[in-house]
This record gives sequence, C-alpha cells and structure tokens, in this order.
Amino acid sequence: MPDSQKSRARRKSLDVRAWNGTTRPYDLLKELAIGVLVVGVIIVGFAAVAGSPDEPTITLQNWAQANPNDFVATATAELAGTSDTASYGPPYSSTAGATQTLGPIDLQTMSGVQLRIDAAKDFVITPLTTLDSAPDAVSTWRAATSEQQTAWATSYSDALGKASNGDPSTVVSGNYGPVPQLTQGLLTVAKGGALDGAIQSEGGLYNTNPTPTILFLSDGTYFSSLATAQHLTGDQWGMMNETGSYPGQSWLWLFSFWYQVPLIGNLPNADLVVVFIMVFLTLVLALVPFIPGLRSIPRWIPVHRLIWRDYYRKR
Amino acid sequence: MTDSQLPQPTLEPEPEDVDHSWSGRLRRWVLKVLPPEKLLPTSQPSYVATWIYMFGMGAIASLVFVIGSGAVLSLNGPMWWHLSPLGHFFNSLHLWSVEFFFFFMVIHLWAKFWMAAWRGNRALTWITGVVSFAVSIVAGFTGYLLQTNFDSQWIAYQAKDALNASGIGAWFNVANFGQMFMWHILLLPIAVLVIVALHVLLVRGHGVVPPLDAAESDSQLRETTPTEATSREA
Amino acid sequence: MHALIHLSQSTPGIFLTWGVFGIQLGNLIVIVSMFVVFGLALVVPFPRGAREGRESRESREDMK
Repeated sequence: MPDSQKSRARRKSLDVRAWNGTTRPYDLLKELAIGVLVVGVIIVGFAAVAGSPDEPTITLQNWAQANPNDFVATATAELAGTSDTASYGPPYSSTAGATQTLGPIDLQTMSGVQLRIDAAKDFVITPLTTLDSAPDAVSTWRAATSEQQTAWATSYSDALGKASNGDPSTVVSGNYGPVPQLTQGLLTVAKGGALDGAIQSEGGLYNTNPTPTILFLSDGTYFSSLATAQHLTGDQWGMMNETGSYPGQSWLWLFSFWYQVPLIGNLPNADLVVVFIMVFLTLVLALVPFIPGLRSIPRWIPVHRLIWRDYYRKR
Repeated sequence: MTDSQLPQPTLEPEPEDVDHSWSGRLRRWVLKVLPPEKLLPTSQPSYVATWIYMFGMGAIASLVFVIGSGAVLSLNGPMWWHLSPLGHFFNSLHLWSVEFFFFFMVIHLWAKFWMAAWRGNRALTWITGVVSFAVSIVAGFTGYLLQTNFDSQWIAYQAKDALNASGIGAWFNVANFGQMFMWHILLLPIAVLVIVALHVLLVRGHGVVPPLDAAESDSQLRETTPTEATSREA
Repeated sequence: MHALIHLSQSTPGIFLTWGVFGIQLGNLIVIVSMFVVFGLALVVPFPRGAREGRESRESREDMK
C-alpha cells in the first residue's frame, strides 16, 4: 500500500474510532444548566424590553367601513366568478387551467378540490339569506340561470370599473339584474358587523376555520394595501418580515429571495418553481456529506485552521 | 492504575448466558452504541475548547424556553395573550426564544459545516441536524399562523399559494386555524423533540469529530500509549 | 409587565433599501449579529479551566 493511502486509511480510522488522545474535563449537565441560565437571562431580557408585536386582525367590517367601493367591487367579482378565490382552481374550485404546472407536473390538480368554496354562494348569497338582507334580490338571483347570473354580475363589474373611484352611486344604469341590490345589501350588513358572524357561522358554533373570511378579504385590494404598507408582501421580502420593526422569520431569507429574482418572481408558476428549488436545495444541504466538491469546501476554505488553531499549533 | 486492575462491567456476557429475548438484545445494543459514559460524559477531547462548540447547546437551551413558554401559553388558550399583560409577556418570551433558537441553530450549522463534522460515519448526525432545522422552520411557521392577529391573517393568505401549487395545501390548510393549532401544539413539537433527541444521541454516540487532517503523530494523540488505544477500540 | 418600549404597534417599521435589495431593520440586526457572533466565537480565546492544565490520565480514565 502506498504511503499516502496508508495515511488516509489511518486518518479515517481516527475519525471513526473513539478519541484516545488527551482530554479535558467537561460536565455535560453543568454546561446545559449554565446554557439554560444564560440563554434564559437573554430571552427574558428581550421579552421584557422589546415585547412582541400584536397588530389587531382585519375584519370584513373594517374593510366595508374603510373602503366600501373596494368591498362592493369584490362582492361583484365573487358573483361574477372572476375573483381570485372563485377562479383559483384546486383546492378551492375546479376552474380549468388555473393551476400552476411545471412541464407535465400538475400537483395542484392531483391534490383535487379538497376545500371547495363556492365564492358567490358562500361569501354573498348564503350570508344575505342568513341575515335576511335584500331578500327580493336573493330570490331573483336564485331564480336565474347561471349564464344570466354571470352576465348581470360581469356587466355590473365592468360598470363599476368605469365609475369614478369605483363608487357604486355613480354607476351608469344598465342591465345588472339584482346585483346592485345584493352587493349593497352585503355592504350594509358588513358595515354593521353582522357579515363576519354570518360567514363564520357557516361552519357552525364551534367553527375554528376562518378560511372563507381570509379568502374573501384577500380578494379585495384593501387587505393587501395594509400588508404592503407593512412591507409584508411577497415581492417585498415579506415572507421574512414581521409587523413593525420586529425581526421575523429571517431563516426564510432564501425562500423569499427567489421571489425577488424577476426571472422567477414574474413566472405564472413562480410558487411551484420556488418550492422545487427549495426542496432541491434542502436535499442538497442534507446530503452535503455525500456530494463531491461541496463536502470538500471546508478543506479549501480553511476556517477549521481558526477553529482548532490550538490543536494545529501544538502538533 | 492499569486497565486490568479496573473492575470491568460485564457488557459482553459469556455465550451460554446470552439473552436472546428482544429486550435483552435491545439492552445489549443500546449499551454497546451508547454506554452511559458516552451519554453523560465528564471529559471531552482536548481540541473541544472553543466558543464555537457552545451554539448547539445554546439552541437546546432556547428550545427549553420555546417549550416552556409555549406550555404556559397553552394553559389559557390562544386568545389569552391579547387580553392579559402576563399573557403578552409570555408571548414575547415565546417569540424571542424562537428567534434565539434559530439564531444559535444557524451558527451551529455554519460551524459544523466548516468543521466538516460529517466525517467518520457522522453523516446521519448531519442529516438529522438539517432535518431538525427544516422541521423547526415548519413548526415556527405554524406558530406565526396562530398569533390570531393581522400578521397571522396575512401569512395565512400569502403562504397558501406555494402550498397549493405543490399540492400540499389541500391537506395542510394554513388558513384553517384549528388545523394549524393542532399541528403547532402537538404534532410539530413532537417531531422537533424526537429529531433533536435523535441528533443529540447520535452526537453522543459518535463523539465530537476530530480536527480535519488530524494524524496519529499529533501531540494530542502521541501521549497515549498504543495498548491504551487498542483497549479502547475494542 | 408590558414591554418597556414598543417597536411596533401601528407604526410601519423601518425598512432599508439598496436598489433591488430591501430588508427590515429587525431582520438586518439579527442577520448581522449572527455573523458577528460567529466571528467572535472563532477568535475569542476560550477560557481554560483550573483542572485544564493537567490534561491528565485522570480525566482520560473518566471516559472508560
């Protein structure tokens, strides 16, 4: 066996076997106890001095009061089936062609419509029925065919888009069917605070699932404008950010990073691409010990000379 | 005192005494791979003498406070901290212990990378470390969803797209408070604790990795006699 | 036991931007601190305990 091979074999055995060189006294439990004490002092100090952020939730009532025009436009989009939620595809709806795919990979469709949400019904018609608001308009809507419903809601949506500031009171007259009454009725109950309860109680008394409310809120522009002001949106590195100046999930920096790269962030399937990149990179990190090149970086950039400088100095 | 004078524990019983029961086999295996002196050591190799070795322990100490403050928050339910100054303080403790948990864990990861600490059959230790990092990120993320405030509302909305696009969102609905609550206070803490425990046991079983390019001729190894080395290898 | 200073509560927070790169102050402090602490842990000398000098056979016996 050549010398180099021999020494490599010996070195390996040195890595593998229990250390039989000199030792220093050590007390695992004592180190743990001191660690808990020191870290505890730091954490209690930060908690006492800096506290933690707590921005109150945004309700449908807050939205309706702060930006009624946005609320009406969104309610109309729910009826027309054009809102983000209504046209999302799986897991909320079966809208064709709405999923994010990568070549032949369509995991979103494979997962199926597990959390079905009928936006028009769940966000508008059912709450109006529950609250007995605009009952005549609800009856007219129910009696119409779905083509008729979509035609009414779409033309009202277009008219709102053209109206000054999206203000429903300035919309030119047209064939909108019961849609203006429905959305106005919904706005009224939302402003009074009843809509939050009505949508939430669709899940019964012990409802612990606010998904419909969150999705309805996010279909409008009000919710995201608040998030933008707090630098929380995806294109603002928002995934890492916390409200105020508090540190957030800074460990998500790499996940967030890919959304800032225009080539990736602007893709229609950006989310799927970023997920694949991150799964791949996490696997690479886990498998570093087996990847030639990567596993040799610590030899090429000798930070270890600094870490074990005493050891190397006294060889 | 030489080795022969020491009372030797009878870890390897005589062949006729070998207990073939499952329990007996498990006990022999555990004592072989993780004898008590490895589990609770009172000495370390001399090269384990730099601050960089402290960060794994720092992460575990932080985890103690993550679990502790989380347990106190559990006592009064998820809305308590909005209403009570004491509750808010424990929420702050929970937040900062998580921040420091990741702070120490990431520095620990950097340190172990530069030490190439996966050498000498320690790859599984590295892998469990990376897995515990990944699982902790999911656990931390579900915690952000449970703040029951504007931040959690927004994160639920924003995070759903990546999960839905990858087909996970259909079964892991970040906007479903009840579901995320169970994941955060039961399933993910169990996962984190199990994987961290496994990681620590692997570290203890294998011992701390020797310096890169350590050789038998190094001073910290020279002083030991060959007989001693052989006896320990057995 | 309210926090003595509140970093947030209805203020948008401090956000620093350099070209396409932007970061929230809290996160910047955390990340910079990590590098600083890592660097310090590499260079600050580790204290040697009272029993350290002996690096003894005695302590090696403990390993058995």
